[in-house]
Amino acid sequence: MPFGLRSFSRGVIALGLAVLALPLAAAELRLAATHTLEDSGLLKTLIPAFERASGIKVRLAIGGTGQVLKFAANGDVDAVVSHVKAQEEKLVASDAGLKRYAVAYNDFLIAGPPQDPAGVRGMRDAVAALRKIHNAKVRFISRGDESGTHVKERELWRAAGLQPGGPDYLSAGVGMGRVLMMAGEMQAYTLCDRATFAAFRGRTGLEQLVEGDARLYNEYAVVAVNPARFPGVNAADAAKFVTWLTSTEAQKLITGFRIGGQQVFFLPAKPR
Amino acid sequence: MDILESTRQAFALLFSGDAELWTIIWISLRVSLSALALATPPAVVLGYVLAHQRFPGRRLIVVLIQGLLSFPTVVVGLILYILLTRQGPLGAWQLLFTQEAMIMGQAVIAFPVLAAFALAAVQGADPRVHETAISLGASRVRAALTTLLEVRFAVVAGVFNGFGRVISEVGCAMMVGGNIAGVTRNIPTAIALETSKGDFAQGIALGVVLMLFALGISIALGLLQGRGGLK
Amino acid sequence: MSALLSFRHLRKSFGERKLLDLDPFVIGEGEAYVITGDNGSGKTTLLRILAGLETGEIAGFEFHGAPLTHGRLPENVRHDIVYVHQHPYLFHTSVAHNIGYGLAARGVRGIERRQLAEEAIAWAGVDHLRAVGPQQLSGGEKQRVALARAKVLKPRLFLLDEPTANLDGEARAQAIALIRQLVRDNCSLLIACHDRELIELPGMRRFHLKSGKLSEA
Repeated sequence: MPFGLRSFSRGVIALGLAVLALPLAAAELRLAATHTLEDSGLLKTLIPAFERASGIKVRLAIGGTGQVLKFAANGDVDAVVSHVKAQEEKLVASDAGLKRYAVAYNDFLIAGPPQDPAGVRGMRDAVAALRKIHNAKVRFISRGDESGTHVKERELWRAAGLQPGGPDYLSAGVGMGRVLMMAGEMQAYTLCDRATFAAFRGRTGLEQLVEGDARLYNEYAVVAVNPARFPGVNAADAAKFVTWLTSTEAQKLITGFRIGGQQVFFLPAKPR
Repeated sequence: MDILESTRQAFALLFSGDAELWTIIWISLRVSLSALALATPPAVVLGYVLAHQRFPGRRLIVVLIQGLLSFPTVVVGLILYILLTRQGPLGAWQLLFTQEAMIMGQAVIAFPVLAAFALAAVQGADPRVHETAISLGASRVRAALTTLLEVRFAVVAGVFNGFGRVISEVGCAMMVGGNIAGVTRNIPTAIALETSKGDFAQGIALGVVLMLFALGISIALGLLQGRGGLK
Repeated sequence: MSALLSFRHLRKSFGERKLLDLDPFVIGEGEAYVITGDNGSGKTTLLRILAGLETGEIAGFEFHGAPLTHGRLPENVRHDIVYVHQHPYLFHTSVAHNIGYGLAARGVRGIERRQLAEEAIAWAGVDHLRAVGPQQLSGGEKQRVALARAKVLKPRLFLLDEPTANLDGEARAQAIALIRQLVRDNCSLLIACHDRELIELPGMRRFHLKSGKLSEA
């Protein structure tokens, strides 16, 4: 009896230590990415592929652009992927980020109800289209949340020389997918990235009405967090992630990603 | 430190009478108080009937109410969304993304709380109340009202509890409200937005307001208990 | 003497135990009865059954000439029979409101209600307590208010359950004085109690409840 009890308790202690050691043993990359990437579904393809290729487990946090960049700026994640160039460059300039690498691009489009009360269907000039929407006094839903989409939308309004507001301009603080659903419900216009729109096609009853304007360019980039600023950061795995994301394997996945048979992500002109 | 600075800014915003901030607070109060006004009378009636009448299915309803007490609010939002969406059965009403939809959702969320408290209150009432009322010639309705008045502190405690549950819930409000600025953005959905923007100052300001509400409820309940006893 | 309330028999059992097994009984109009009996003999239960607060097995129940089926007393009968608890419950409002409660329930409004309530308040001698809530009343004061609350409705039958059981001294004397008044005013009363003084009031008929049977003493 005493012999059995001793080896049993030894076994329990060993098991306990092993359990405690687990989180330390497994490598984990803390990654933050914006809603748009999640809503389009691209991350569901990329992340598992990276995990398989590298053996690194990814802990993914999705949030608004402002939020995920804040995570990076505070050193709470190891790397961040978003689509507001100016903010990403600020991250690097402030020393919180190492270097910005463009990873993919697509474009925004203006979606709206099939009846198109503002009459913007087929227009290529996004700024003029927004002006028409504004003057037609029809509902427009904005992301209103400092996201990449919202930032782009604000740029366009500024280019149009307009201050959006009034009862028809709704500032909804929710993600792109939800804003699309709302626009569908209310038969309103909205600015949306091509990938999310494709992912939600058919569900909202909206149609892509305005596209092709060079100003609707939407570039995604990855920034690794600076270990010199934040010593606790998993810089090694972040570096591996950045390398992988800009490798030919990842690029094939990005360009091969289809929604409803359509390619929605493209490689930037200068990959690095 | 970032947090301290944000908190300082938060209080500055609150006391400067920032219009955006106070609109959010106003919408929160309007929606939650309307929801309570809507849900309280039927809930109290149900609580009374459950306490007083035996009928087939009574125990099932009591169990249901107590189960719904901790029903996830986001699921309430989901069900309401499905009802109110354009293709849904109530789509013609076009209530989605309006304050009315939020009021409906919060009324549903508050209802079980109000009913459960009313039920407990009436069950805890002195049986002599009803007997005295009836003996003095009160109709059943009047006797019911008299009983409810006698246990009003316990019933009101339920109202405060219901208020606490809805003033801070975010799942349903987000789903059926859509967090539209100036229309359906209340305190909890605004906090969600501010955190998603990484803007802590506004989020903290609103969080402080919510905490003040919670504190106010707590104090009010404490006063009630002092006055009415644990009845 | 015309019959106010009568029954052929009245039975009440709690499980196996038969508490009441009463033979034909008549309560006369304008008569006052005291029912004595040990604790647990069923005095309170009897009163409560007659008040319609509890069910019992009754045959041939008649009130004021009209036959009744038992269960709950219908509204018109409830107006004519008032039951006062041994420990009366006063609503958490005021003495004045309590006394006026039954009047309000009957739709008596305005001046008439106020007048009747004033009379009852004066009758019970609680004028100085009219705005006071029940928490601040003594047992004796509560009993007087309860009696006034019943009297103001001019019921055909008062059912008083141990009205002086928890009172002594001045309080008891005051309650007995009020009950004496009721007897003198030819109200029909059925009182369950042990109180010597009440039992020996002039005009009081005395019954004893023992082993489920009522017998006149």
